[in-house]
Amino acid sequence: MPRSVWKGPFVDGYLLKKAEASRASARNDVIKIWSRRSTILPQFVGLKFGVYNGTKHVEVLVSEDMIGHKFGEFSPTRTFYGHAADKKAKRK
Amino acid sequence: MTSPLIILGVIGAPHGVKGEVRVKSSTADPLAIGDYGPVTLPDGRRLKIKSVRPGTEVVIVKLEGINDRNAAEALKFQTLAVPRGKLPAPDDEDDFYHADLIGLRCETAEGALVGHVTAVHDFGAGDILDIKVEKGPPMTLGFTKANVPVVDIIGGRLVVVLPNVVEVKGGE
Repeated sequence: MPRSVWKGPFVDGYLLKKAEASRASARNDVIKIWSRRSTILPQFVGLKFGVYNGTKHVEVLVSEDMIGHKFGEFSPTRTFYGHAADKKAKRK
Repeated sequence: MTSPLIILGVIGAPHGVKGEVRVKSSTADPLAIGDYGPVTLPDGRRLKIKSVRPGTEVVIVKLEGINDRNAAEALKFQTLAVPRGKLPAPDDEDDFYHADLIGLRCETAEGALVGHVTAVHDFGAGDILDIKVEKGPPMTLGFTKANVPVVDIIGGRLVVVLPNVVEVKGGE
């Protein structure tokens, strides 16, 4: 059953405060967080978070497409390495 | 100097009785496994790929000279590789093959060693370098121009700019 709309999206309060402070300071810091359950809100767009996956903090640069998803979705707790083959990475 | 081999996939079970095999392809497009010419097996044999077609979670590959099920069975768990030189040059100057990035030294602008790249991931938030730090826990770094201003594949190194980190724990 989905979460009731009247409650609004869940975000840990301390995370919201820290994101606001980071945005106000205009510094490009990585905000290390352990709160994988928090929903990504529009005010997080453009900020960098390091989302803990149980072993390390995975860097997540929040974009508009991520709004409404949870932070944990972008930091899997199990990693498949596989072969590199012909896969490419793009430096943005 | 010989070009290092890049593994494109692993052979699984035989498929049918005409020598076809199921291959777990590691290429970005699974059907592209046949685009890079003859493949090399671990024993040094080079075989042409005659056909590739999609299967269920695998691709069905017909290799030249493998014409019956017994021959296909003998190839089980063998890797299919091509020399690195067979891969075309990336279209964009900011595109890099994972195979080229893995193993590079990560250094600061002053030349201090940070660690080595162990993997490149994309979990939906852009490409991320997985770095094994020399002294300390492993770290990840977004593959951006701000974080990685210099990629020197021939020199075997990346220049990285480590971002400032702010920790936020519950109750703070």
